Amino acid sequence: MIRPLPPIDPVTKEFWDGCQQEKLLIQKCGSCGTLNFYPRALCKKCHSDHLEYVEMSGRGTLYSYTIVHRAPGKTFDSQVPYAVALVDLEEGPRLLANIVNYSQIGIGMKLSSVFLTTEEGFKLPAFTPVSEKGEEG
Amino acid sequence: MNSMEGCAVVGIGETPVGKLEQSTSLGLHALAVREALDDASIDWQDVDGLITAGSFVDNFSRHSLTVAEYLGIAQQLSYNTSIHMGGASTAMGLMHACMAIEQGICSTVVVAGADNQRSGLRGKDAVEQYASFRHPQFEVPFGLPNPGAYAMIAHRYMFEYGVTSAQMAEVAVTIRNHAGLNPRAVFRQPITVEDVLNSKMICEPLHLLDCSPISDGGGALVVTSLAKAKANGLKPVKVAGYGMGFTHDHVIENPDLTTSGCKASGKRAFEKAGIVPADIDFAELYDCYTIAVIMQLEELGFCARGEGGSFVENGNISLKGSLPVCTHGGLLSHCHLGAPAGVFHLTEAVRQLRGESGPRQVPDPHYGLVHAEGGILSANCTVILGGL
Ligand SMILES: [Zn+2]
Repeated sequence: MIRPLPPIDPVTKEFWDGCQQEKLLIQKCGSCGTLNFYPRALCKKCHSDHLEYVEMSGRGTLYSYTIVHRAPGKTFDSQVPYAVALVDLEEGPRLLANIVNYSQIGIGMKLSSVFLTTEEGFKLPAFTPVSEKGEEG
Repeated sequence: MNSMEGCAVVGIGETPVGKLEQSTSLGLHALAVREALDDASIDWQDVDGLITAGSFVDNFSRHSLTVAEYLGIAQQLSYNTSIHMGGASTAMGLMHACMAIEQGICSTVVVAGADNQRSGLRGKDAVEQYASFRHPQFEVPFGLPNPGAYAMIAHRYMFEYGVTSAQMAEVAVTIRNHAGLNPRAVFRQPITVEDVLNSKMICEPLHLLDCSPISDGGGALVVTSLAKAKANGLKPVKVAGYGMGFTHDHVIENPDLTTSGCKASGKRAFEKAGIVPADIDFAELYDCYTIAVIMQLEELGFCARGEGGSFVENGNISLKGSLPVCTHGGLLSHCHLGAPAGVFHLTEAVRQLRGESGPRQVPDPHYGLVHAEGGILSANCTVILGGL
């Protein structure tokens, strides 16, 4: 899988390091408890710098999506069609990610996190549908 | 506000639009500004303010000063700035022009928006550049194109309010009909709802004809105080109200995809103008994608929440309807310049209020509204013109 890799910076490094270990680590504010995504130098609610990373369950709900047929540039030309979605984690934060096994995709669908590996060996978060029995679809 | 307070647009200029192979971005700025000054009967030497909307083709970091230099007017300027707020830039530029004049910083301001992305960037490069405006770490790696972000908005809107693809298509059909009455529009052949629904899928649920294609071109406005305009016998169109509004920058941070800063910018503009939506005779809304028009109709208070789709379907936004929208053909069919694109919404609103729009003239309009937005419903600016 070929992807533009994120230009990781000192503030976001822990999130991306978490992905490499197949964990979704989100910043939690030690002052007000807000879960901040994307990562910041200060809490977006109370502006405290007392921020720690906590691991999410990986379970979420599909908020909205699109199936991309016209790629945003050459990198994605060979990958269309593919699904991109906004996913609300059960803990609250909303992430953008690709959905694998998206044939039954719909708003409100229950999802769980997986990780996709680029040709450089970099892991990006993604989501896959959860069946009624609670197993990955 | 007494009748002589505030500012007015006293001149408008437009270059041809479309694929202008021999054009340059700076050259289009120059041609548009000359048209606007000629229209206003104002000399170049009287311009003491210049505001631009930047360029995706040229990479000048002080764009408005580069344009001033190119025009040979840098030395006479007491106000010069670029607004980098995507599609909201020219509407915000007009707002800045009024504020600078009202503060006494300058007296005759040109607001110019031009670019040649169609011939200067080439199609694929333009698509790639627009995609690069997404968040580099948390959006770009997942392959979200510009229409994909609006497609997610459309899906959520359909889910919450039952808006249909056919209702979105009706926006494109109506605006194309308006373009058919504008000799300058790039796309003038009538289309049907079926044509839109059968056009190539870009990002589900948006088809090719739900999206606005990039063109070359430029437009400009000349702004003075209302008092000066009247004293000089110019034909002023009053800037009655304006406002900005924001909820997010990147789409991942929009807490609710079915609303945006449009609601706040519209409210502020109506309050400043001292009027209500029912007073508006036509609206030049930001039709980058069909869903955006339906949302703005609701956000600006022209119809109730969730009723934008049926409002469009019932013919309200056509020239014969209760609120003609994008009377010149909009971004969907007239042209989309990129960040400066809103300039033609402003020039058309001025033309309508002067009664100079020919076969597409709205009968005797008193107030017109322009809404412009940049990003993914991110940067919003509403301007209300008219009321003299
Ligand atoms: Zn906090």
